[in-house]
Amino acid sequence: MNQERERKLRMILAVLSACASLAFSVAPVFAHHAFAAEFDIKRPLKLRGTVTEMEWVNPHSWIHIDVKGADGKVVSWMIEGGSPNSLLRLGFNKSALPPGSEVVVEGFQARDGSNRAVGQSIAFADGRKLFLGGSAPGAHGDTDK
Amino acid sequence: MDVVIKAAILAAISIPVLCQDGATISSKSAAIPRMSDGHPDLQGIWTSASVVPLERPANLKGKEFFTEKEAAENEKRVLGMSSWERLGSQAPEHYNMSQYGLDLSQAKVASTLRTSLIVGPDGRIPALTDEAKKRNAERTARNRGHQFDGPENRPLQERCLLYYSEGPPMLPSAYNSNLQIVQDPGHVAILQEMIHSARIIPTDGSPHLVNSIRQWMGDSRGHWEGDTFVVDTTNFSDKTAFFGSTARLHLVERFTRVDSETIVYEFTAEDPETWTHPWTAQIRLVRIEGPIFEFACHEGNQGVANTLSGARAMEKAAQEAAKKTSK
Amino acid sequence: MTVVAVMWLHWSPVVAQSTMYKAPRTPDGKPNLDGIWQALNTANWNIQGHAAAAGPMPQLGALGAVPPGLGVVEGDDLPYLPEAAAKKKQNSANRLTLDPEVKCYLPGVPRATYMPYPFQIVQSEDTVLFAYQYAGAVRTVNMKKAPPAPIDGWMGWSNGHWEGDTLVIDVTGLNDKTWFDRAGNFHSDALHVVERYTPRSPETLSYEALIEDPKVFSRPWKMSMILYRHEEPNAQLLEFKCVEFVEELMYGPLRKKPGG
Repeated sequence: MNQERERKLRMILAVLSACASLAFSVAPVFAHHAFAAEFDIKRPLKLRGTVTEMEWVNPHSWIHIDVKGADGKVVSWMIEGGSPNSLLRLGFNKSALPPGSEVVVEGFQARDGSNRAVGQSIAFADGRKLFLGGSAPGAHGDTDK
Repeated sequence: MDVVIKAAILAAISIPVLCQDGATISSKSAAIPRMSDGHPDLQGIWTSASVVPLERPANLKGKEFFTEKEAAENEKRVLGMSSWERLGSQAPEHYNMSQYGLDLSQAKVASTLRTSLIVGPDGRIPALTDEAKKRNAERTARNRGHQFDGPENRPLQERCLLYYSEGPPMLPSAYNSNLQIVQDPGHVAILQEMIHSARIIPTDGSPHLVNSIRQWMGDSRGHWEGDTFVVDTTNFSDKTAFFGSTARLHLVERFTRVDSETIVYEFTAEDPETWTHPWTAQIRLVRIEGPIFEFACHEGNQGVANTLSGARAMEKAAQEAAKKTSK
Repeated sequence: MTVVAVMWLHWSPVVAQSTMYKAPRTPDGKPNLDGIWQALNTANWNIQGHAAAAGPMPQLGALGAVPPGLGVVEGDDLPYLPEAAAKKKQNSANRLTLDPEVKCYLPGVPRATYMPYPFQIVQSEDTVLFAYQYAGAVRTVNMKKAPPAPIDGWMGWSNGHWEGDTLVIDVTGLNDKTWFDRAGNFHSDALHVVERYTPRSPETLSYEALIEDPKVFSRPWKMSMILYRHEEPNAQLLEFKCVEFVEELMYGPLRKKPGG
């Protein structure tokens, strides 16, 4: 049938461009959150501070810390983390990061210059990584700084 | 470009409970729990986290199934990847997924011998119609350079409107790939963790909504064919755009509980204005302890505001830099 | 706790007393609450008795006006602690900015029950699912185990059990971000709600919610109302994903300016 032949031809031609056009339709759907647009790789930071609150919320948790500058002034920062739901399923709760905890945050500051950062890695003052620590087993230590 | 959720396509592994797909259904039907009306009981908390991607990788063209040994090796390989290798991009300006237990290797995942979720010899989404290609090209052109103009230019997921994994059809997500099924004589309700959507599917034979009502998640009606729960979904909004499809998207899903720990979930998607033929994917749902936790997305969403704010800051910086150079 | 028990005994809700009705049973022998239900009152505007009044946006004319209501609070008295009473006044004066409903935030419990939209109950032995049309809010009620709330959330943590023909739901783990109504009546994260759903006729349920919040109120208080079954043959919940409709409000100021 004419239709059938036409369809098959289209399929053959389309297979070659399938990946490209899929990218158009799929990319906006997959890009959950443009971290690179929100945080600046040219503004790395390392903050040492005291936890005032951890918000166990979605889609991202937020850890609020007070950081004392060299001038003695205290500045409040908020650090973006992952969805807490998996941690909750693993049995963690608010007591895992009580207010007053001393933490060290390595990450990148928000592009708009506000006191907001994404926490690439968060550890207690004694070096123990928060919650489940660093990279997945067998990984290449991409974030273990 | 950060593609955190793309990890669903490049999934990881845990427990190698290898079983054949499809063949075991009839032999284990006696072992499955049933409701008082005799239909299989689909209730429980399930994960759709997957070892294999939606589409078959090019190097596995024509190969629909792994051998048991190959499947085990594939699982080990994917499990051994760091989050960023799996995502296929370096995205240092991101929280560490392992630290929050969000790696797929930290979740329970169904094992499968399949090389892709899409079934069949091809294992890929079919060719697009000319119409769809044109539509996609126009959409891309429209959005080029405008991705950060306003909230409507941002992805549905970032806006907390609809996660791509929600569907229907349901797809594995990078994490929290969980759903709960509650069932009573007249309904099967599917509650997905992200973003707390409840699809209450009636089994009373009632007709679909009138044509003029279009919904993000369409309108679902269910019925039983033997031990398989079949769901027919129409009335999609054109805003949904599942893989670029239109309001003419028609979905048929099939849920078959094969044993106490597994439901085989299969969907067939068709849209003559998008794909040259319908396509089918199969995902194994395995039981998890749960619970499902509240995922109040919009309520805690800082992403849209911070992304737009960041874009405005970058524009301002660029303008100021331009002023300096023009002096 | 003893005070609560004593007060509970003294309250004999008018609606529940009249019922000798026995609802049809589910396969596991419990009253069947399955169906699509809706409150027919104006509690969402103001849970206390109130006359009609102008709304906070004059541009909306009558569309934005506050409709009158008899109130759903027993005794019509909300026993605010002094500081909390002041906060309620502030909430009311600034409700256009502060009411979480404006931003399509999840309504919490008990407000979800009396939003002026339907909700659906899907009841199984282990879990009762409440799905609300508004904002796609949902909650699952644990009927078997009764674990404590691991974390606070918008819709809380619900553990349920049967007392005769009444479904009793104990709700904890509610955050402090929801309101009781548009009038600014609020609570803290210490809120504890005990709901009682009792079939009173084939088409109605009686609903009561005991509210305890020692950080805000000097004593517990109760609200009660009737929930009506949707009888139309094609009744179903429709999508009301209002997030889309608040984006201009919330993100408009961050939009790129033309020519920018």
